[in-house]
Amino acid sequence: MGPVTTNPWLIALINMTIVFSVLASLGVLIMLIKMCDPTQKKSSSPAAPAAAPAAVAAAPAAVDNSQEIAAVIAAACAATGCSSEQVACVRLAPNAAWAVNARVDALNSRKECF
Amino acid sequence: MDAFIVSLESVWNDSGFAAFTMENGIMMLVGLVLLYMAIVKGFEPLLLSPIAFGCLLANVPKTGFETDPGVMQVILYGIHHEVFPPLIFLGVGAMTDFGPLIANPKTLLLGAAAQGGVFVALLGAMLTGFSVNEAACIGIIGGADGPTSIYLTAKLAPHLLGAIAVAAYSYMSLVPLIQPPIMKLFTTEEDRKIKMEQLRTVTHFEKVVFPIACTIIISLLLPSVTALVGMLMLGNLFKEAGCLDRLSDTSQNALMNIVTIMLATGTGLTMKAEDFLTWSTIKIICLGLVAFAAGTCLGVIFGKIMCIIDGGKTNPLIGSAGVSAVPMAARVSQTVGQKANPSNFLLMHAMGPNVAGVIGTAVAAGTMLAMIGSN
Repeated sequence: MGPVTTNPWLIALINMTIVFSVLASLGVLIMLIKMCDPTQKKSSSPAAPAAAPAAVAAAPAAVDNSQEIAAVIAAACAATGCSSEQVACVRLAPNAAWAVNARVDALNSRKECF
Repeated sequence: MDAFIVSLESVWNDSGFAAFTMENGIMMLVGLVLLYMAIVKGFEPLLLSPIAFGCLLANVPKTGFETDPGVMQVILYGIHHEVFPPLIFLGVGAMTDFGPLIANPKTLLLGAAAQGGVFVALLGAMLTGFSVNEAACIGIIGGADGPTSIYLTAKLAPHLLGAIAVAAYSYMSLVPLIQPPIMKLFTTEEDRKIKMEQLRTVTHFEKVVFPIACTIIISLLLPSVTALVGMLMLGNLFKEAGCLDRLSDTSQNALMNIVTIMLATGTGLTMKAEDFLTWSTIKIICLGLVAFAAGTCLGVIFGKIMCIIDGGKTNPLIGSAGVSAVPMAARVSQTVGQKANPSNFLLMHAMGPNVAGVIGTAVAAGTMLAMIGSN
C-alpha cells in the first residue's frame, strides 16, 4: 500500500491538525486528572495557611529579648573593632545542635588551615 | 630482498592509505572541524565529540565496520533498527519535569504551534526535489529533536541518516545563536518584559497519572511512535513515582551516558564520504535551518496571539521553547526575557512548551509514519 497522499500541503494540513488535536486533548486530560485528584482537597485545605501564622508568631518571640541581643551584638562588634558599616547582617544561630557543632568544626578547621 | 619488498607491498596494499580518497580526506577534515567546535568552542561537546570521532572512523578505508561482526556493527544495528532513540527518550523522560506543563496546560498549544516548522521544511524539501519520505525526515529536523529525527529517518529514508542526524544535532547545539534574533524580530520590548504569574503547585498524583494516561492515549492513537512516547513516559514515571529512585538514577545517568556514546558514535559512523558528500546534504543542512527558524518563529507568533487573547498574561518569548531541544530552548527564553527585564524569570514557564514540543514532535513523526510510512 502506498502513501495516503503525496500532496505536501495536504500532508502539512493533516499533520498540524492532528498535532494540535492530540496536544489539546492532552490539555483536557490534564484538567480531568486535576478534577479526579483525591489529594487536591487535602493540599488546598486550610491546614497549610494555619502553619504560616505560627511561623509569624515565632518571630516576635525572638524579638522579645531584643534589648539583651542588641547589647550582645554591640559588645561583639566593639570587641572585634568593627564599625557599623562593616556589619552586613546578623542572623540567629540554628537550633539544631549538630549543625552548630558542624559550624564550629568548620571554623576551627579553617583557623588551622590559615 | 624481493621477499622484503613483496611484504612491504602487501602491507601497503592492505593499509587504509592505499584506498584513501580525496573524499575521505574531506570528511576527516569535517570530523576535525566538528571536534574543534565541540572541544574548543564547547558546542554540545557530549554529542558532537562522539559524532565527530565516529566521522573520522567511518572514513578510514578497509575497516570492515559494515561487513565484519564487531562492536561497530552492534552500534550500527542500534542506529538502523531504532534501538537507541527510545533508550535516549527513557533518560530524557527521567530528567524531565512535566510539572510546568501540568500547571499551565495551555502551553501545550505553543508546543504544537512550533511544530509548524516541520511542515514548512517538508514543503521546501518537496519543492526542491526530495521524495515525500525524504521530505518528511528533513522536516522533522525542525522539531529540534535528535532521537526522533533518527527514529523517523531510519524508518523512512535510511540513506539520509548521517546528514539528517548531523543537521539535527548541529542546530540543537546552535539554539542559543539561532533563536534570539528571531525572537526579538517577532516581539516588542514591551512583550519581552511581561512577567508571568507564578505557577500553581502540581500534586504528586497528577505527576504520576499524567505519564501513564498520556502513554495510553498517544499509543492508541499513533502506535508507530509507542516506543518513543512509551519510553519517555516510563522514564518520567521512574522519576515521579517516588519508589523507583534507583531506576530513575540509572536512566538519567549511567544508561543515558552509555546510549549517548552509542547513538552519537553511530551517527558519526553513518557519515561516510560516498553518502555524505552530495548536494542533498547541503540542501538538507539549509532546509534544516529553515525548519528550525520557522518553528521558532511560529512558536513566538502563537505566543503573541496567546498573549493578546489572555490580556497580556503570557510572555510570547516562551513560544520559542516549543521546538523541543530540552532544556536549551527554555534557557534561551529565560535569557532573552531577563535581558529585557532583569526581574523576569521565564524558565519554568518555558519548560511547559518545551516538553510539549517533545511530545508534539513525536506525534508529528507518528502521523507522518502513519500517512506515508507504508510507501
